[in-house]
Amino acid sequence: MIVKVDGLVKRYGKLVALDYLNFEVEEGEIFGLLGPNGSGKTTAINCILALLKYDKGSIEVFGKPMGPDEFDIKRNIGLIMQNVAVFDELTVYENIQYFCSLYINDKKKVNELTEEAIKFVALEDYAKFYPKKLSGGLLRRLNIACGVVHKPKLIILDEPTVAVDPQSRNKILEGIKQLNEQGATIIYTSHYMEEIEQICSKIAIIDKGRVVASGTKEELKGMISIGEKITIETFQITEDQIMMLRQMQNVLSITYENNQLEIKSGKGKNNLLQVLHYMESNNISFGKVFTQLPTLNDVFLEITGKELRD
Amino acid sequence: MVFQLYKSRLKCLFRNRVNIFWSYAFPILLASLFYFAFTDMFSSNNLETISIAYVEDVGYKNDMDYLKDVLEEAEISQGLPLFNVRYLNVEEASKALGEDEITAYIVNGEGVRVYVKKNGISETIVKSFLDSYKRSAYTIQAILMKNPDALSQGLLDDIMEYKSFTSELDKGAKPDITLTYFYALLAMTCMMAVNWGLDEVINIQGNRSSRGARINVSPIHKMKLLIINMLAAFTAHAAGICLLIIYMLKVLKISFGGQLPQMVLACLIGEMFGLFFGAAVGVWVNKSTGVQDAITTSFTLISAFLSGMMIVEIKGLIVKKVPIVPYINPVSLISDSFYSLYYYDDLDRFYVNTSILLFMSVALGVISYLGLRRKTYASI
Repeated sequence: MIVKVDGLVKRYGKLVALDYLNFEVEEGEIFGLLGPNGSGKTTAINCILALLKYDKGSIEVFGKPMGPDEFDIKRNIGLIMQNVAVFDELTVYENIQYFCSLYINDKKKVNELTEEAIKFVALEDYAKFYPKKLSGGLLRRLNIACGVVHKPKLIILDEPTVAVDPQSRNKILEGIKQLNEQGATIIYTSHYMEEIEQICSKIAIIDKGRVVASGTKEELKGMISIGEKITIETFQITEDQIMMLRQMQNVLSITYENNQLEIKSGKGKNNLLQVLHYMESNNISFGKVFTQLPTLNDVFLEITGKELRD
Repeated sequence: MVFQLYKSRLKCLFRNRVNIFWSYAFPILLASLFYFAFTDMFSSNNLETISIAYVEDVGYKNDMDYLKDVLEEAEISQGLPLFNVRYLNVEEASKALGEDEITAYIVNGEGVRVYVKKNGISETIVKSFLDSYKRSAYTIQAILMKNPDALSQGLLDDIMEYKSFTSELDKGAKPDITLTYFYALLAMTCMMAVNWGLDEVINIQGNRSSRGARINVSPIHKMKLLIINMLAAFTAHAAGICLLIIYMLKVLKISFGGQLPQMVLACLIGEMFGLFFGAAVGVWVNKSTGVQDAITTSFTLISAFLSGMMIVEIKGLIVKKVPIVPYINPVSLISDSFYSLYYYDDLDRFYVNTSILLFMSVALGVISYLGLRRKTYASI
């Protein structure tokens, strides 16, 4: 077990930020903490890192209780935050070197690791640039390099792709996978479900400071009643016909907006066929048809009753 | 690791243009400004003989009137007369004044009146000179009314003799009011270290900056990092002070009484105070960085003001009205240390001042560390 969070409670006055939060992270996982803004993800991370006091519960990292003076544990942790945490007065190379020096004593080793980190984030051409001269995406890559330069066993990334362009975002996600392949365990927090689905091997969905569901993405999707979402473009369907569709076997709900008929079906094999058959036999003309498997947003919606982006 | 971190902090500090401007360039600019302002204001070498006209109204001839003689005998320095006196009638004098041939003309009749064309230093000197003459003449006349023999008893010699009630020590240092400004400037520069101390603490507090959070997650002990960072700030700021001292000594030729090592020592202790004061504000004032900056800057400026940097008379006023303030005002303590080096034979006062400053610095250092060693934060 790399991280074990047990019954964690954190209050800010009357506001309960973490409400008996529990989760465990196994070695080699990319563990995703998914939740809307304000759900308690960053607070949980700050507690794990012993930056923030908490009211109740316990946190173990690498099998030992985590505390501010646990330097042996800290030596093996890398942190990449949402805000870029570098010195404007130091160049790309000097920044990475500085943060590496906080962990490593040997100057030669520091320089080697700095070179490696620069290569890893592909900033070789920008080594002598000051942060202010870098674009947002490059700056995020520098931020990542500063957090992983000492080759930590546990890397915590707290919303590292906020306000990042798609190209840089893909690079960052690829980099995270690469770090995981090299042996690092990853904790990744985000409110972007696509990112979490893309890279995480295990996911905990968090809302109002509690884990509302956890497991692999398949396990999570298996927890909800929706099997698939069918979307059909149609211009002439009556309320009665929609009512008939609603009464079909396995149909959970139907909405019709902007000429798009969206049908959420339960788990089953012939959901689409029976819908199309009904429309054909009732002379309801239709255009584009497509189906979708449920997303993590559907999981969140079904469990909490609200959208992930609310 | 320690040297690498120290070197990196030095790079950060030397590349921080705002801090470098305020701690390096600004004091040099201000020192230059003081220098150019004061050399003109206080230099007697710039005084020149003033052309005036003397108009005597014979109808009011007074045997006891020596104004004409006094005007002719007044000197700027040995052999250089203060006035070039022309004897004219009123019309001639008025015409000469209109054509700028003379600065003023004096009509000595029922009273002594002075006529000038404009306001200026020369005109003020003529006016002040006559005011002084009138006071002395009135005094002499008043004494002679009571004691007609006073003149033969050496009254004039007594009146003209200026006595000093302070004795000059054999230090060779002449009192120089302009030094107050330069000393206060140097002291204020030391105190500008407050912003450097504040920055260092903000950088290593987990709840003040993202960098601080990242540093707090690393396995380095906070005390160790605080010492490294403060040492780097001390080095960088001390370099600025040394530069200012060299500039004042070599370029502006300001005299500091020849005790340079003690002076540098006072500066370094003052700088240490500034650093730890900034650190204490950073640790204990739980407000935004802007508020903390405002507190440190206000403190520096108010301290400088109370030590007489802006208005030199304030220093004396504070000593008279609130004598405790100079003992707790760091700028006063530093500038007063410089004074004691310049004016006094022994170093007692210097050591008292620097000891108080050192004690306050250490106390602030301890206070800062006590706050900083807080391991986790209630909120971030």
